[in-house]
Amino acid sequence: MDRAKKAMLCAMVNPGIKGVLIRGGSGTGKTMMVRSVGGIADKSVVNVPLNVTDEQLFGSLDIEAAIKEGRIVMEEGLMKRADGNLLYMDDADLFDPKMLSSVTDAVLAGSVRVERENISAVYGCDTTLIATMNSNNSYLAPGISDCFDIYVNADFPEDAEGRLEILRRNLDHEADADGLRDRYSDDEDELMERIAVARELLEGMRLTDDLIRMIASICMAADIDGFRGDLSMMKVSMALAALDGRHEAEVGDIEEAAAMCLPHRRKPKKGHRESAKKKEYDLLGTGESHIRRAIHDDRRRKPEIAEDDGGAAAGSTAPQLLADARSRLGDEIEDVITRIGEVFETIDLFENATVGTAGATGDSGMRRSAISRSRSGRYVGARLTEDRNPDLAFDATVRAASVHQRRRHAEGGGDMAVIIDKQDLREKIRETRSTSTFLFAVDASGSLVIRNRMMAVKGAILSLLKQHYAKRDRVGIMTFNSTAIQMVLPPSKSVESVYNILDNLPIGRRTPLSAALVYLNEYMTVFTKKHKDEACYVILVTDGNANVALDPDDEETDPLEEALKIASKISIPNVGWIVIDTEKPSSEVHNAERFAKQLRADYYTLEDLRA
Amino acid sequence: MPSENHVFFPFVAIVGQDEMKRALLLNIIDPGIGGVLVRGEKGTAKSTAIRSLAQVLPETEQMEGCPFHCDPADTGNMCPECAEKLASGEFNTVIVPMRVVELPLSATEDRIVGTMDLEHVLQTGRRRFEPGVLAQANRNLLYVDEVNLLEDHIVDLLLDSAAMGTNYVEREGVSFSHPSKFILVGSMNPEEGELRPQLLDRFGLCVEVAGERSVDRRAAVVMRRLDFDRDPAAYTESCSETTEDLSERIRLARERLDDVEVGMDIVVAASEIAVHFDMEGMRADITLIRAARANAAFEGRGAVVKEDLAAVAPLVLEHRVRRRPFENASFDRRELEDFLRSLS
Repeated sequence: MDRAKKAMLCAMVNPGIKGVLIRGGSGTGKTMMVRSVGGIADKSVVNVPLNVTDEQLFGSLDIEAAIKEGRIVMEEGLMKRADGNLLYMDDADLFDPKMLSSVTDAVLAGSVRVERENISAVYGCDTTLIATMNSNNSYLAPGISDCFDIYVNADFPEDAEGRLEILRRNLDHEADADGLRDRYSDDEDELMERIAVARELLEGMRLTDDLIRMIASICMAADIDGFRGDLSMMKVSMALAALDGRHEAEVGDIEEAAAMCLPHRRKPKKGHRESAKKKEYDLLGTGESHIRRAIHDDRRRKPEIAEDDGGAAAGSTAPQLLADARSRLGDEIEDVITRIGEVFETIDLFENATVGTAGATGDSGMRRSAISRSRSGRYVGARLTEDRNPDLAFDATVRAASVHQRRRHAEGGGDMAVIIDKQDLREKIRETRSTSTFLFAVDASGSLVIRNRMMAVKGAILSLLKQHYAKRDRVGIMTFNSTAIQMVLPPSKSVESVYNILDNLPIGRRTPLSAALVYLNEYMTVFTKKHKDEACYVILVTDGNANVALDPDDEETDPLEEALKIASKISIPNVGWIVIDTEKPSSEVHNAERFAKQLRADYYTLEDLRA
Repeated sequence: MPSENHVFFPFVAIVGQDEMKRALLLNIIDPGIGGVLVRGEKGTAKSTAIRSLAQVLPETEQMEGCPFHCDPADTGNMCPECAEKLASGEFNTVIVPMRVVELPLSATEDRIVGTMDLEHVLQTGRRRFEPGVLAQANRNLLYVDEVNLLEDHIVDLLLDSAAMGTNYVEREGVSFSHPSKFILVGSMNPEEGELRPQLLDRFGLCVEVAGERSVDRRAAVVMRRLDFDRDPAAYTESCSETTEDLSERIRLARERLDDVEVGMDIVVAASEIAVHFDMEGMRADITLIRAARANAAFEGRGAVVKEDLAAVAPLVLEHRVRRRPFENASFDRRELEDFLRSLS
């Protein structure tokens, strides 16, 4: 809790710090800590629930005022309430990315602009966003994680004493809330004092040119995109110095700030191999050791900064730092990288795949329109509604009310020109072009290389993708071999990177199909919850020769049988499976076909794919 | 943006990013160039630069009280109300600076295009058009952040309006049209998805923005930001002279624009460039010439020279070099330089 608490204190001290991202499993007391620190700084915590709508968040039309009094008034949303307080989002990685993006934009800009549903408004929102992520599989798009100034890992305290303390406080609180408050109010008073003093120190604080250069060098060595990393480090290092009661920031503050501000901005290295111990690659990565190395590089060789001549020579120290950091990072690369080979014409796999999508209409192969369940999409019609806060179709409502006007006016219904009753309310039917997601799960084991099938596989994937590129679908690539299961490209609409990724797929040994299937099941379950209106396909590209059991040390279980059993249990709504068999056609055994059966998947061989 | 007091980081104090700044300035000088698409990594001051552009935007004359900011001199493109006023001779004009109008990512169709005035109908029983963002944007600059994440049907709306210069509204019981001509500026991070080809082509210029790879410049960014944060008003004040100079320069360039000579040799050179890089249609040629002309005006020259073409060519060609999906090929600067050298 120490690091997370420190991060929170920095944010309370320096209002320029707008976002803190905390990773930690449930039960680590994050929420308690956030509330308590917020309380000390006299700010309330506005919680954003997972199923929040745009209207609840940013503000919406006050339907009652509109209908009863004919006035356009905006109903306050959570963002307005967060003005001057704290905004708290638990499980940030489970939110709709577009919504998350709108929230971070508003927080960074310090204001909210609403242009929806008859409301046009702008209001200030001076707040700090505290977000949490709960598991090692959590993933935030780089554009969003970059908006957070600080990232900390709030794991359970390593020592028994720390754990005991948390437990004791929890029990005490239940038994005697008042007493607890008194006992700990001294701590609180002390913290309050510290924050007040720090705020004052911050006012006059400056950073020396040397320290600023150090920040810049570290960010370059760590290959951080954009400027936000540098700016965050600037704000955090000053906050740290102030918290420590000093008038000036020192090198130690810069280093500490680096560990807080940079780990979540690192770009995951494509094709990078994890050590054999870790099965899963934490894309967000703590990366602290990497950052530390970058810092030490900077200190060891004081870069001589000559005048800037457009970056060519002035950047001379940076590539060196970069290269060193990289070479130290990279493990021995035994991976065999093959170039993308022939790209052949393929049949459209997805024409035949059957996946049910609620509301999908139209033939396969044509752009499907799905009736949208959210308030986005083209307005195509109206229907009756019982909703208290409907997505109001104003024109249809007025039309429905029009026939009753004469009577209502005669009955003295009020002095509005158009008198609207609850029964007149109509809500909008919206339509949006549905997006599909294609996740390729590629068996990257040596057997493919030996038979030179890898080239053909890559070619096939590329061809399939080309067909669907124009439709703005999402494409993701995951690879698995005995060394690692990697989500090399989380499903995204950016197909440009696919080319590079396919070119650099890591190849390893052996095939942990069981682990891969378990991973896929977990990942897709979460994914479909986040993207409810969409069809998803998982394309398993493998020869099916599972030879690593779930527990690699288990000598007894037959990996193949184990994997088949897992496959038979998988069933995720809205996800269709396709198996592409990469086994040589001449082989007698085609295990991939058995998997296709268990997964109720459509089955193709590489040869089938050639149109 | 919430209040007029919200101060943006001074445009003139932005470190580097010269091409992006140039692309934006050229469009202010000649809005007919067709807007700018700014592509780049996160956190590279894309949005900052565009929002602070307001500090150097010129003033224009508008009909007083018009929600569409109609141009009193442009009688062919007026809203019905202004047309009436003009005919009757009873109207006033005001001089107002151009604005940067932002389109929020979560904007709904009705607010963008405009819709029926709810209050008015409920209270008077009469229909009235309530202008939306496209009305606000007329004769201004429309900024769409994360343009690649916009919903398809919204993108279609923007395309329609921008192409015709008029917004035709036929929805929700309202039938109305009004002028909607704006400088379209979009920003995006290509990592999050590419832009649809139709929209891509619609942008006159395209700039690729990358983070600074020089320690000096990075440090400068931090230092300036630090100074600004400490006292925004004072820092802005310290930049005021430079800002004034830039505004004046832009104003003069706009005045001079029509008088800048475009010689036959320039027209031929532009065509040769377009042919060499395999450009489809005539858009590239025309944009090259317009941009070069605006550049010459900005530099205070009376005629376009080859250097102007060289300066703007990368901006014009960047997004038009025909790329097949999944191809790694991007616009090759060196090829352009060599070719230009061969021309002269």
